Amino acid sequence: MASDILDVFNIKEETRVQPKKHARSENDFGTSGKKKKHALSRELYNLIGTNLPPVAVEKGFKFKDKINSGKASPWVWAPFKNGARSDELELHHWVKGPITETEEEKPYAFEKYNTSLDIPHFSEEEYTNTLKDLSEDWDYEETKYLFDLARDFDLRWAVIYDRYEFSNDKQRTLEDLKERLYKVSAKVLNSNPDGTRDVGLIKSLEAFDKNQEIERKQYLNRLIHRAPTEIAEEESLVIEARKFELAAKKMLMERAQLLQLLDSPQSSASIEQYNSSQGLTQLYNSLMTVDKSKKRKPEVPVPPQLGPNAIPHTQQIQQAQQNQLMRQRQGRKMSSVSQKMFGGKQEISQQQAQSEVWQLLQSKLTEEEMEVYGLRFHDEKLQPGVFIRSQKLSTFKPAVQAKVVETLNELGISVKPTLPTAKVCGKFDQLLQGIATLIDLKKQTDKVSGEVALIKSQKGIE
Amino acid sequence: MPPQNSASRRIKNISISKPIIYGNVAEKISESNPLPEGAPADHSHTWKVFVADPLGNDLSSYIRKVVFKLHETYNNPTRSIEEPPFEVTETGWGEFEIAIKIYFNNDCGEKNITLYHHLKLHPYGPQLEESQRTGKVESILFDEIVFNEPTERMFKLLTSKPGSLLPYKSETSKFTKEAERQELDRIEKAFDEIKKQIDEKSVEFKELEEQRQRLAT
Repeated sequence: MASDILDVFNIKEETRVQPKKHARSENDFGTSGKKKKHALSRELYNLIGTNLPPVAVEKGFKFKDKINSGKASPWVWAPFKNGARSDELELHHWVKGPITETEEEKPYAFEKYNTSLDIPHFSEEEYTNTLKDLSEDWDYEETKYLFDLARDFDLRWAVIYDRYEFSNDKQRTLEDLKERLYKVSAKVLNSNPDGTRDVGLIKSLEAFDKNQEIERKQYLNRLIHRAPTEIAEEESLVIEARKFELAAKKMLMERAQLLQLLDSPQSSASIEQYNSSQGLTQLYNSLMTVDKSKKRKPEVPVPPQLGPNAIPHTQQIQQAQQNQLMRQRQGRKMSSVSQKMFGGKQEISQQQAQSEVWQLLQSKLTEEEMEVYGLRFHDEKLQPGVFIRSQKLSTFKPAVQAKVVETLNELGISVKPTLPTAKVCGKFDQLLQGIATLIDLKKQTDKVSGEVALIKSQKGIE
Repeated sequence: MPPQNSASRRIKNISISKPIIYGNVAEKISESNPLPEGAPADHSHTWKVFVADPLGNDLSSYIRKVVFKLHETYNNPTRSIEEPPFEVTETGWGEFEIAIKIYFNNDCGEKNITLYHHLKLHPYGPQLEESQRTGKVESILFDEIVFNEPTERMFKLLTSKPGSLLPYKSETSKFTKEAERQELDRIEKAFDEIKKQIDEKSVEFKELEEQRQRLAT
């Protein structure tokens, strides 16, 4: 039965293993009462199976509370005195009894909530001695009045301000009252005859700045009295500001990239500068940053993958030798390929042509010979397939492309080379990349100069 | 070795390029160049569009066919030429763009490529004067077909004959080593100019940037 229901709810057998064990172990330790529980709810047990019920019902099988389980507790009408009162008034209240002697002696439970603030006291003598110099505007009576009010209303400033009625000719603002109270308190506490001072408290009292407080309230006042249109405008301004921040961040990043690009060597410069290990490292870094879309890298030595920073001069020579070896090996591979290709062919004329190729490949091909066949070895991975050379020249984003074309026209260079050979296209691509860099640079320069002008005008220079 | 393999296996890390020229020559209808029979009377030029080797070598070793897509108003505008010379001769009065599709030998496993040529009948620029004298106009372009990692079969076909080297000097062709040299020089010069400008600008840029940072702080 249980399994049927479990099937309905799509609960798997394994998921129940854990609770089952749990239930069992509980049973092992279980009291007779718990066993009884199972006995009582056997039908229920069959229904839910070995799953524990989702809610732990501790008192389980009896859902009704016992009524009249014990004796009724006696409540007693007892007198009590409130220690917070000064007038010894005796009142009565109901207490859960029975009342013992000690309980009667206990202070009233709510007495402790009757607290009063510890506001410093001062006598008229003290005032004239130490406090009089604080302010010309206040005299002893008024100060005393303020302190009494503060004590009466537990420093609830709104109430104090409301009730403050000392004289009609002096209108005190809330800030005036606060300032006076804090200053006098600080002074009194400072000249405490006990010598014990709460330095933190005094400091915080002295830190009160009336003007700042007034300003703060003005701000709050203005904030609360904004019109809905003002609120909307403010929100839109915040959004706008955030946009500006993002744009500025982006621009700064672009600028940093450009600076980095400018600091790295131009890949078009003569190869000589790469003959030192430092130059090689630089070249490596600049090659890494060169646009991936660039199809042909210039024919310069490329350092090996491992450790771009560590190529001593001696290793460089070794490396050059390795490169040569690699090329030779490639050549040999080629020749073996052609051997395979042409092996087993019978026609003499073809064999002649093939052996020619074979020999050419076997011997180290001179540059010119390679050119005759239009053959090139590449160190980098090629994308297999056929294409038209002039169609693979670099292209840019439309806006940049238009400017590139414009620059080419200014230079008197046609948009496409008339003789798109490998050499020409390589050079032309360099030119295109250079122009793109220049355009980017011009854009950034304009931006920076605009910014400089803006800052200048903001700061009022010029 | 089964043919399937040599047609699909590619040779790594090499590329082979083959130079081609393509374009058109055109001549005004005149007494010495009369309108061919059957051509509409309003046609003012005879023209020929073609794809060829710059040295006049045979392209059919690796090119199977060339398809010229003419303007729709021509009869049978898609002209498929399966034998060299790969050219179409027609008459006409207007210029239009011709799509030239080059198909490679079937066994080579290479896709076709497409060139676009603007048919030129009317001279302008430096050609103008000479053309007015001879009545002839030409627009011939040079390009290279590059086979990256060619299949073994294609490699065999491409290297069966040497001879795609440009001539150093030529009376008949403008596509020479000399021209390449000149073009390289021109680009080099332009590139130097750009480099100079970049250097100038980057100095300016860095100065401005420093100024900005000084002002900002």
